[in-house]
Amino acid sequence: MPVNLAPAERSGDVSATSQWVALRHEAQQGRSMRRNGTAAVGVLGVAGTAAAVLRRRKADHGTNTTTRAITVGAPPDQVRAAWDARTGDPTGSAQVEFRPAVGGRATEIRVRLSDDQVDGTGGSRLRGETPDQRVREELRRFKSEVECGEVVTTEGQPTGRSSRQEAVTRAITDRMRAWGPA
Amino acid sequence: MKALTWQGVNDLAIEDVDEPRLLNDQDAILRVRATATCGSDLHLIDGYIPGMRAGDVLGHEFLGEVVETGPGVERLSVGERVVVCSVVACGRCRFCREGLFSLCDNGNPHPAAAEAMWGYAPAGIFAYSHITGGYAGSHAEYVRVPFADQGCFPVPDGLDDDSAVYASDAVPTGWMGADNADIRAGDVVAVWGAGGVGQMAARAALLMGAERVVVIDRFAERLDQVESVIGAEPLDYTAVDVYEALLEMTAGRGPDRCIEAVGMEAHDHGAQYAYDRVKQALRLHTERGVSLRQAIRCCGKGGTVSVLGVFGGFLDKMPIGAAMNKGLTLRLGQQHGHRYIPMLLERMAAGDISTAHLTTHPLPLTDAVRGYEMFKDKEDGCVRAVFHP
Repeated sequence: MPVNLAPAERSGDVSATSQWVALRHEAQQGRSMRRNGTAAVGVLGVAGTAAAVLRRRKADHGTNTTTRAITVGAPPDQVRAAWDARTGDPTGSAQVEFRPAVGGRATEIRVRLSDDQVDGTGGSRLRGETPDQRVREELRRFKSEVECGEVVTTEGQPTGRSSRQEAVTRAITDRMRAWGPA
Repeated sequence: MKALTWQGVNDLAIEDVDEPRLLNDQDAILRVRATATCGSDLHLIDGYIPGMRAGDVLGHEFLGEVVETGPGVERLSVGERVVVCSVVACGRCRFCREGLFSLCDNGNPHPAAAEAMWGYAPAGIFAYSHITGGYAGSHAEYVRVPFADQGCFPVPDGLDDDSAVYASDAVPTGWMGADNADIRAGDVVAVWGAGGVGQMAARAALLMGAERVVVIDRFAERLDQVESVIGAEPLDYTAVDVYEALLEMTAGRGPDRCIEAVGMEAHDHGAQYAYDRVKQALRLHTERGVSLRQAIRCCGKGGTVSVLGVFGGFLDKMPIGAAMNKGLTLRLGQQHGHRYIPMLLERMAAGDISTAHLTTHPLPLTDAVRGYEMFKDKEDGCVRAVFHP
């Protein structure tokens, strides 16, 4: 997840390094303890770093943004008009930006999401319905509708699966629409 | 209706499934008249392409008659006999407009797994795992074709079903391999693989002006076809050292253009092949790349290696040093069939490209499980089994 953590990362590194130094000093008190002490330093150092990462995630939660973007093969005025004509906007309160693509051949759409929206709730993550996942799917759907007039689907096609097997497959493929870098 | 479904690794079955219906406005429903086995299906059957689900209907190379069209279909009419490109492409995104149909942005309804594996998702492909869209395939009585105006091509009168079916995949794939190889008049071309795609690549190379084309394989019946139908020179890799043979044939220069039409389950003999088999069986890598490595090693300085064989994941011992230091050009890709099929159907109808000989085993769809066994094991000289529902 490309979330900007740079300031907290620095403080986290300092914290982990301090623990490492302190433990290493203790280990040097007795030569017979050196090897075991060094191993303990490694383990605790990793644990300290992990704790620092968790702390900084908690501290920064809600303050960073992630951008989901897609390029649509139509001029910005047409893309903007089509975007505004949609109903039931799943992007909610997210900030949306339209920009001509390099070369003027298309339009770039960027949706900025807070990390609350990216992470979603536990339930929405399980269902594959975090705001982030809904935005990604909406961007794909929008691009396809503008470029070729429809969003191609496989839902309802013949298979040799039972309805239960098909439900599992559907759950997997639903997520295969929403994951990815879009 | 009856359909051939994938049930698991090396496990196929004929099942009763629902008939397809129109799901998008630009869909058409076809009654399948001919649907071919393809070497790339074996990668699915053998379990080397991820993303298959039990119950998936197989088949991506087919021809049929239009029985129903959606309200967004403008160019097709009911009753028309059409061959369908195995790639599903919208025809209107940036890549389609540039003729790169297998890279279509909108043809794959489930692109996320491909994006995770490959960075970006290519187009959809009929019945080629859920990574390329999870579309139901053509080994059935009826098939649904999305973006039907884009992917269906009317078949000229006089071209029979068992010949025209290869305009769906083998012929355009082979043509693209030769096109990507940038063949010039007087070139010596080596093709690895004498299956349908390799033979079509060899024929395309000759039509593009290559002076000599040699096709490498181990099956006598396929090598016979290379000589008698395609007009190229056969080379049996079990009888000669391929590198030495090509060196002698070109008086030390090596082939100017090499076309790899084998892919991730290449066969050979010797230590390198054993190494590949063990690593693939243990899933430590996904590709057996002996043909690709050999093509890179054998290719002459400044030459082109064009890769048509299907690769899906990770290849070990890639001879990047040979490619770099000989200044080779590597070209790869799934077929951009929409770009070539109309022209190729004309050439097939005119007799420039023969394909009827590939259908060594025409069978009813109900015999499709047996047909795939024969095709996989090359029993009874099977080059392609083609099913007629």
